[in-house]
Amino acid sequence: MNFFRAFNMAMKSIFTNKMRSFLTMLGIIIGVSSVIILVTLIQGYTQKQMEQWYSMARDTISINVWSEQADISQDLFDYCLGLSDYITAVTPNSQSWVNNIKFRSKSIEDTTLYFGNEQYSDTMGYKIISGRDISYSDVKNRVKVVILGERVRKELFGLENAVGKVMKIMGEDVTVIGVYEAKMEGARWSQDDMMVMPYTLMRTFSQTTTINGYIAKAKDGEATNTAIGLIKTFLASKFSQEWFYNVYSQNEWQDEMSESTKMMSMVVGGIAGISLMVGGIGIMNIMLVSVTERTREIGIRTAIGARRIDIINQFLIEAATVSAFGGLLGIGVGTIGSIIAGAALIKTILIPSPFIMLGAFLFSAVLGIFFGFYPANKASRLHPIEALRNQ
Amino acid sequence: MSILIDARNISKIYNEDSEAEVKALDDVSLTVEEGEFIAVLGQSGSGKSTLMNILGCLDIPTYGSYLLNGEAVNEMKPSMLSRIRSREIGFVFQGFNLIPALTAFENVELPLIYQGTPQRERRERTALALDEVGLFERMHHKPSEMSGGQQQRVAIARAIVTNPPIIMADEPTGNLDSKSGSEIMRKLMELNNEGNTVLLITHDQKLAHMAKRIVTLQDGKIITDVTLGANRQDGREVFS
Repeated sequence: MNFFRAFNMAMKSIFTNKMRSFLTMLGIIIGVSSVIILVTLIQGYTQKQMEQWYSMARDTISINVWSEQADISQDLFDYCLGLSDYITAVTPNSQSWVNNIKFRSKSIEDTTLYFGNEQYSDTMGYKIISGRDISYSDVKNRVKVVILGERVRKELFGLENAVGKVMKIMGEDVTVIGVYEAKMEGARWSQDDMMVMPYTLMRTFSQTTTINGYIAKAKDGEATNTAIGLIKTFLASKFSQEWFYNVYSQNEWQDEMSESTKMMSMVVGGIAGISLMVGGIGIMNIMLVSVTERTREIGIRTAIGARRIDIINQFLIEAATVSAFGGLLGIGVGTIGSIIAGAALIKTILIPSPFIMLGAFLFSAVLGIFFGFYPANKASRLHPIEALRNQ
Repeated sequence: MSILIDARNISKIYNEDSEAEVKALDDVSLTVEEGEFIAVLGQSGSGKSTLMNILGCLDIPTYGSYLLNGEAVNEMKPSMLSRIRSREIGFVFQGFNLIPALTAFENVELPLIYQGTPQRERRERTALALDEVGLFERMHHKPSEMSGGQQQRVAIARAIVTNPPIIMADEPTGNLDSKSGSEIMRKLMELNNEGNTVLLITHDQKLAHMAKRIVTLQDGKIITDVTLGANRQDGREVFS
């Protein structure tokens, strides 16, 4: 008996027991859609985060020095500038929590103020959307200028052009020279909730006055590793203890993070997969009922020439069809669910990847075959005489 | 005339060597030639159903040898038995045994599907078989939409669609009124006249007398084996 015939028969039997078939499928539908939604959500979330990371932090090297043993900030800075084969930009990096920020009648509670040099924006991967960047002379002459993140700009200036306006930070007059491109629609606590100033203004706007962090932007992944090695050697010559400083790349961080989210999506997918298993057991259960109900039919088929393999095929294909149908519906529900959950939770339109969809579909069909095998085998072992005697 | 059924010293024993031992068939030998119309007559419990199951390759004997169309059936595995059933035998049962979810056409088509007949040929032969039993117009009806007589005719169509050497009918009129019953019997006689070998299992003396030969079973043994000549009756007299 060929596959198409068997499939037709399976469809017939599915449609004669609509309600039962649907309930059986429900287990698979829930299983498949929950796997799809959870995995898609995690992947979407990770991807969104990674995109932000990539845009700013790929191939950057963080250098932190905690010891006062030697004041090496100028030396370190000069050394990094000297590594021009590997490093394209380097900036001091310090930050401070500031409040009392005003423009005319408008004010905001607080935000993070970063201190850097004229290469800060390049190093961090921030784009100036209007106005200009901090210049060397701003840094050298300690000119009170600031670049605003989207959140600060939005709250203080709204529709007004911010560039060239004078605002007050901690009572000091500061001129806005530029605005960064929004990354998170100007949301509070996001990467848009910030301002950047020349680091030479630290004495005025921050309690801490020493610079103990630098960020360098390397050419590429390979240059990153080379530069880290060189900088570590340099620092080792300056400090007696290794824990006085550390040098690391954001790449390691990112790789670790993407590795851990991969793990997480597998674990969560696996947990959701348990519900798929439960759905599979549902199929096995209903197939066993079906075999018992159709004992006589199996007897008739065997009597008129069906071999064991024909009976096995019939029930396996039926189980796989129910299961694959459930899988298809599950993909539909999962896709809709992903779109809704994505919009609600991470404000992104998430479409499950074709790979997940195909995987879920194939897995559910295989599940049907796996859980259908026991009932099918049981059916095929019925003795025709006993089966025909069954009413 | 070649020998179709050659059963020698067949015994079927249930629960052998225990207190509940039952000898359903006890040393039965039977040969049937091509073109015969043979009735196996016996009361319930005489072993006639067991005999049909064995002759019909639904079961294998405990002892004895059985050659069907020259092949030793008693040594066969279940998968081989399925092939033999599919090729050599057409069954007609008392309870019709049609699959309720399938139409008449689909029921009749089933044996050909299991034989692996190509679709086009399958459809032609199915239609022919239904035409043969006069149900060509009703081929798309389900069993539940047909009378008992019609259902049994569908079963006959299913039995003859593969063109088997032997048709085995187990109490084919048992669930039918006399008019339908006589139709079914006449159909079987007609098939026999066309050259089919028919084996009829019945408890009904009158029905048995429509065959050409009557084998009577009692307590698992053949007690008489009579070939009817002029005494043979046709359906009209039996059901009048």
